[in-house]
Amino acid sequence: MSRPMQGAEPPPEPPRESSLPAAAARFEWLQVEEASGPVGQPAPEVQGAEAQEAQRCATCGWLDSVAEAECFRCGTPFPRESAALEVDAVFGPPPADGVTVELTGAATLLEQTGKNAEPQDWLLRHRSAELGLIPGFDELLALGEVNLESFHRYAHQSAVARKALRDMGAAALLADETGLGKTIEAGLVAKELLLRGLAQRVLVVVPASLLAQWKGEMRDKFLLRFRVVKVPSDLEDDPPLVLVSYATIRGKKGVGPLLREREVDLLICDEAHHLKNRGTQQYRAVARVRKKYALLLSATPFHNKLLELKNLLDILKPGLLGSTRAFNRQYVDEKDPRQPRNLHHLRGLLGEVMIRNRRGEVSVKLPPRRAAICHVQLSPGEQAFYDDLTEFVTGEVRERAGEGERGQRFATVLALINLQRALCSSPHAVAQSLARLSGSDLLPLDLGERMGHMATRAQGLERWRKAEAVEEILEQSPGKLVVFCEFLATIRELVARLKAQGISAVPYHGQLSGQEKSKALQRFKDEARVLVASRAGAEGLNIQFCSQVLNFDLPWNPMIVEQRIGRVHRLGQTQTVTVFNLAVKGTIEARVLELLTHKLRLFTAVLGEVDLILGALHSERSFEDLLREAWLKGVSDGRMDEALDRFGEELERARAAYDEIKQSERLLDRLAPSGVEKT
Amino acid sequence: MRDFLRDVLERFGAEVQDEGPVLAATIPAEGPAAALHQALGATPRFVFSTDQLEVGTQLVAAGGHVLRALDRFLAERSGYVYVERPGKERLSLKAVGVKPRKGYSLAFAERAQEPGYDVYVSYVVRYHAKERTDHLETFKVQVRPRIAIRAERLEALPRDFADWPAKARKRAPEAVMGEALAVADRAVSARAEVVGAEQGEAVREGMVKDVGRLHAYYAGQIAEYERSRRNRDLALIRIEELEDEREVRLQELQRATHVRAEVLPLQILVVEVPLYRAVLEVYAKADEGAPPLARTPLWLDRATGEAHLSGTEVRPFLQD
Repeated sequence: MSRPMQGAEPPPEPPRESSLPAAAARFEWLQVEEASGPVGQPAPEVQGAEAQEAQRCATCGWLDSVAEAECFRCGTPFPRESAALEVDAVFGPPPADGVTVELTGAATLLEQTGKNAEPQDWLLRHRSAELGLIPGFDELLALGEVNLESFHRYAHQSAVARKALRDMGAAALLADETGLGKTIEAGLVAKELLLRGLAQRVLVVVPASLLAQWKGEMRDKFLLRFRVVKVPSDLEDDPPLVLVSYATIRGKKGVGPLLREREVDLLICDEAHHLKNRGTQQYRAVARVRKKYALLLSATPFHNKLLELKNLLDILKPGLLGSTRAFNRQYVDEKDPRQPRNLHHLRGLLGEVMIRNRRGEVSVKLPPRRAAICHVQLSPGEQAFYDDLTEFVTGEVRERAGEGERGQRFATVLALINLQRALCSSPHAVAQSLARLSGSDLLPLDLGERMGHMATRAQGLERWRKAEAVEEILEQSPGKLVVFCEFLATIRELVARLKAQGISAVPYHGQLSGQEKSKALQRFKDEARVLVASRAGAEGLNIQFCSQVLNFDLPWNPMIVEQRIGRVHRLGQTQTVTVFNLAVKGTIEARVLELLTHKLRLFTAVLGEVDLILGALHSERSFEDLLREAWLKGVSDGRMDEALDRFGEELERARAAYDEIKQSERLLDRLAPSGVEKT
Repeated sequence: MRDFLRDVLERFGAEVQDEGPVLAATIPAEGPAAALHQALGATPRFVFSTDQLEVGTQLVAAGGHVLRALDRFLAERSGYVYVERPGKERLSLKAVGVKPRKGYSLAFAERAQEPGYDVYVSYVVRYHAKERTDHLETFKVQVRPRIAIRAERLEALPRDFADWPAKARKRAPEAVMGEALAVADRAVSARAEVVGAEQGEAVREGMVKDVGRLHAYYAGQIAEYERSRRNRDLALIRIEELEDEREVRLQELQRATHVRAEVLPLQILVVEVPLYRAVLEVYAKADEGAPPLARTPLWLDRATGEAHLSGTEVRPFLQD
């Protein structure tokens, strides 16, 4: 539709009764278009179809199509009457069946109730029902229904959720700066809609690398159990809470079409800049989803062109920013597609759907953190064992690459990878893993025997250089220390060893009961110097009173490392946080640490940035999967260094892409209306 | 909220203490509060604002888990109450408030004492639209057997019934209850339709701007592709996609205008009303011994003194 119609005449005034000829009273006047000529005279020739649909802005006099909701020139809304006609034109008059009443007859109460009640109890129940009436969105029910053990409430997050629900009808682009908790804000909105019965079916679309993190956060913080859907059978029992990757939803076969046809109440798209280009399959896939509410999450909703931001908003509120041509003409600088024009007007429109908080505006003030790598050299005995076992694992991987069924092969490779990681953790962990594997049905008998021998050898190792390194760190760095380990055997041995050295240490892992965990934590707070914790045990742990973290061994997932650090580096921490990492020279773990430190810049990145960098990897697989793949390739062709270097280069590219994207954030700050109200 | 929580806990044997913003309770594991003990814990600590929430406290808020637990607990013991309203009023012309015109006399016939029933039925009505709002509706159905049955919506609940004698086993006759509850159901459905339609209208009004923009946007986008000099086939595909997309968006908006009202019965209160039933007869004084000139059934509420003539036959013979 061509918008500007300057030059067209305004619609003529309808004839007044007094101006009609006397004989006119005898006629029955029929409803005619306003733009027709005076009654009783032949209608003048219409100047063009558009001339019949004109409306004039009361503020600036601009003449525009009746289809427009507001003035093209000055933004003044056109009178509601014309727009109301538009609603009826699209929907027709209000339907007679606009209300469905689902009545459960009062007689059912008679069937349910046993003996008669006391009047006082009756009145109490009535009060209970009165008080329990769901209020407006000013009060968020979700805040009382989260897991307080792992949920720390920030005022700006509840304010964002409230604004998105109350003022934006839960159709919003949440564009907070990284690290301010957009996931939490979206979780609050989802929980609120679910609690109020406004939503039953939620679909969350995220980059593949964030699937596990989303699932964990929703479960731990909001007690929402999402199902990760990858194949059609995952949808067979119609799960209400679904988590998928962009790759899955855009798929032409398999579960993709099923997901797109599924009607949902709430659609959440994380890292929504993946939808910046409307020509892509994933944009079209997401745009096809029928939804009642939608949240898009991105700190950098546009990268190269302002138009990308508009494309995102077209999913939320189609037409808010007009057609592509109109948007470019009205809001985009002719010379630089990233620069906005008519800033004031554009900000007003964006304020209807976009919320952005900056770190400086909200009360999330975290102290700095620093990271150190402690390079450890294995003892000759340990080194010999490491080399022998690595050779054994490598040989087995090569040998079994083509053996057995796919599932079994995968399980074998996973077991071998786990062995390699246990090897980097401690002799005790690897001994336990070997002992367990030697009795497993997964491996052939002869292999089991060899593993049994290896286990015995591991148990006989005299030195444990990593534990010695911990002692050195404790000697040099006064204060409490949290040591994170991946293996239970390592935790037990390390605690025992530290105790033997006269250092008070407390174990903390998933096998402890809730009460034991509380006691352990209290002991660490009151007297013990070291807490040796596992990943599972540390979930939801708040230990702001300690400011030192040691990654004794390294998970192959950077998000888990971030979560470990997050136990200490969180609101309430007043001191600079120090993160120690042990790197045993010449091991796979040292290489992984190098990738995380130098390529991903995990320890120096701003909180939340790692998500974005991983998102920029342009891969549908998680970091852990990619690393495993690189390792496997390196093992298979005997060129481990090359394989890991290539993976490192990919990470570097992702990092560079992210750095470029970051530039657009500054532009976004100019566009975004000021942050939400503080509570 | 705080008073309510305290009232419930104390009524069922829990000890309650104020600790600043926190209301601390000790709920016994045995006795009537056992179910509360199980749902809320032995020594729960309640707060009433999200700002005061911390580990170990439970938030008491509308729609929250504490109120839901209390509601479940109370629901089991408060579905149906039967009370008898005491009444002493006697049947007389004065009590009924009628006087005959000159030349006529009035008399009562077919006197009988028979209970009537005021059946109070409360419902929770949940309106699901783009937002959800809940209403608590109470209807009073006046049942005067063989005379009248009518329903009215109450703005406030009568509180004085708590002082009247409650009957632990007594129930209103099945036929009376069946009729009363059906009337209440019809009344609440009608009310839900009216409120739902108002809400639907409000949603429609709210989306005036959205619809205008959506319409203009797709028309504009499609026009741009129609004028496009790029590959014609690609443009046509894109136009089709846009038309499909527009359909999806319109369906979304249409869906948002629909209101679903979920009506759930909450509780029933039956007040047995002591009634005199009689027939008021008019006689001509001049024609003693003749049959009555007119007859109209009436009832007198012995508790309130409220009288009701259920016909107009005797009206012409009564003073204004």
